[in-house]
Amino acid sequence: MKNDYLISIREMGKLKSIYSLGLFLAFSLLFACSPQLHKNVQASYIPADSNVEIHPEMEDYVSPYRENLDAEMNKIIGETTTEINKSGSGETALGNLITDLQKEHAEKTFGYTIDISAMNNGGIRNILPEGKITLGNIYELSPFDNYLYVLELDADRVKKLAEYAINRKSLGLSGLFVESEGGVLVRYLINGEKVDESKTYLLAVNDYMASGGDNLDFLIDAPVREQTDIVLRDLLIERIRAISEKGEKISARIEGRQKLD
Amino acid sequence: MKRRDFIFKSLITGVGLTYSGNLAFADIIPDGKRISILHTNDMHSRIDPFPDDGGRNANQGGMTKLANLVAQIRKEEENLLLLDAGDVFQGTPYFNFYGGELEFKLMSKMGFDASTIGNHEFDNGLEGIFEQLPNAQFSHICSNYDFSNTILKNKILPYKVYKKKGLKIGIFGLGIELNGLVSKKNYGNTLYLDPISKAEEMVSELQSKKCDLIICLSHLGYSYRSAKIDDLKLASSVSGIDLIIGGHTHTFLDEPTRVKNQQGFETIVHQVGTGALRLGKVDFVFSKENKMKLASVRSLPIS
Repeated sequence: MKNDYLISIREMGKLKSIYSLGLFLAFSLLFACSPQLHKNVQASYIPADSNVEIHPEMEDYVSPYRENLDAEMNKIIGETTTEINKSGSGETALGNLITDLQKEHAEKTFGYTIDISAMNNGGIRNILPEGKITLGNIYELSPFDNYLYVLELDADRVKKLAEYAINRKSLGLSGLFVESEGGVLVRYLINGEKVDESKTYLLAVNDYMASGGDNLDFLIDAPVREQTDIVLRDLLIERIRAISEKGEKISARIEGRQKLD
Repeated sequence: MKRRDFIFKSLITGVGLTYSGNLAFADIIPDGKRISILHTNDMHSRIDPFPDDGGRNANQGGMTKLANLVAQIRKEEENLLLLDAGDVFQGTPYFNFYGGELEFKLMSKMGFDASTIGNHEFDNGLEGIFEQLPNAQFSHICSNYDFSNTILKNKILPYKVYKKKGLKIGIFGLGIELNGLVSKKNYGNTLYLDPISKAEEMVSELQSKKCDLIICLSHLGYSYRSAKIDDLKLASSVSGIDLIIGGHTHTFLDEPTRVKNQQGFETIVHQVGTGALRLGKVDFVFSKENKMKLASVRSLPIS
């Protein structure tokens, strides 16, 4: 077969360059040298790109599921006073809202006070528009299934978290105030008070952060107080619904929790 | 002559190219038994194509498009298996609302033969898998998760032999270490067993059943810099696996990786990203005499 090809090449006389011949021989050798003489193989992939039509029968099958889903997703669960977005460096309006709701939900669930709540800004994938908020808005904002964790932080780890916040400028924070000058941490307070070296503080985060995601290495070995399967998205939905049921609107703004220079 | 030109082009241009050639392989090798392995991985509940939002994958992928590719190939390939390497679940609200029902039903309609258990299959716990299995008219194959003390006992096969037009294809599956990746509450009493020793056991079992082809559905991941087991390490360590269909790392391989181990055995490792953006196709041709036969790249027109 290999010879067959070489003959055919000679006959064709269509070779444009030595390069093509080299490539061809390389491929021939690749197959010819295979020790599995009985089996020969060629692999490829076919892209399901924009040129590929949707299968009509499948579309018919999916459409009632999609209609039900869309109806669910379009359900209004609350209302904002103004757009709550991700602008800002470190502290953002949306980061403040999410960490506040996460803290509140953890406290209601476990029945004790949470000192700090933190959220990686990278995990927030969309904003909340002004006005009516749908279930779909929350799915877009938090598409990942991140689970709620509570970690125990000693004073050293609290300081590391504060330093991380000012260096990376990528955390939403509730309960922890941080301030930097010249890029250096100069002040950090937990609920307005200086950190007590002998105390253990409770931090509400998601499992991604707790497992050291985004280089939060110092969280990996922090003692775990609560490991839950409460999805961040679900707790946001529950809190927002609770606020609406009280007849209130959702609002959040940058309020100086992180003074970064 | 035209035909040879076609083959030649397919060889030098490699993969991912589409042709309008209506060339049946039997024309080239009349005595060759042939089987085409179509495969997916990490579809992640991507029922519809990615949304039209200007993103990189906008209007691409999704099971409703994939079904069209599969249907076209079925028209032209007599002998094929359609396989998946896990993480069918999770990724769009379809999963959150229907728990995987639609994913399994569409895969059944497409005629999937088998899938394995990815880490995200556990997202609604063992019960979440148990409840959805009746919607899957295909087998779930996983060799290194011991489910015997769970509700999935006897529901997941350690391997399966498919007889396809005179060829015996043995398929086994390997899942990733669960501890640290999946919440203990979700995997319960499932035991994770060493993939290498399990693979060796499966290969010898399938060889004793005289399989012509041995395929591993792997959700281990393509390659890690650490010592963590991956598809490339598996291929280097275990002889006798002809094809590893990989998953977990969402790796888009533009061409499959050929791993030749110390015993001289060559394994093909392939993986096609995520979200049903690509359908992998690996064609095996068996010759009656031990002569070299070339297989052709054959993709379908998708306009």
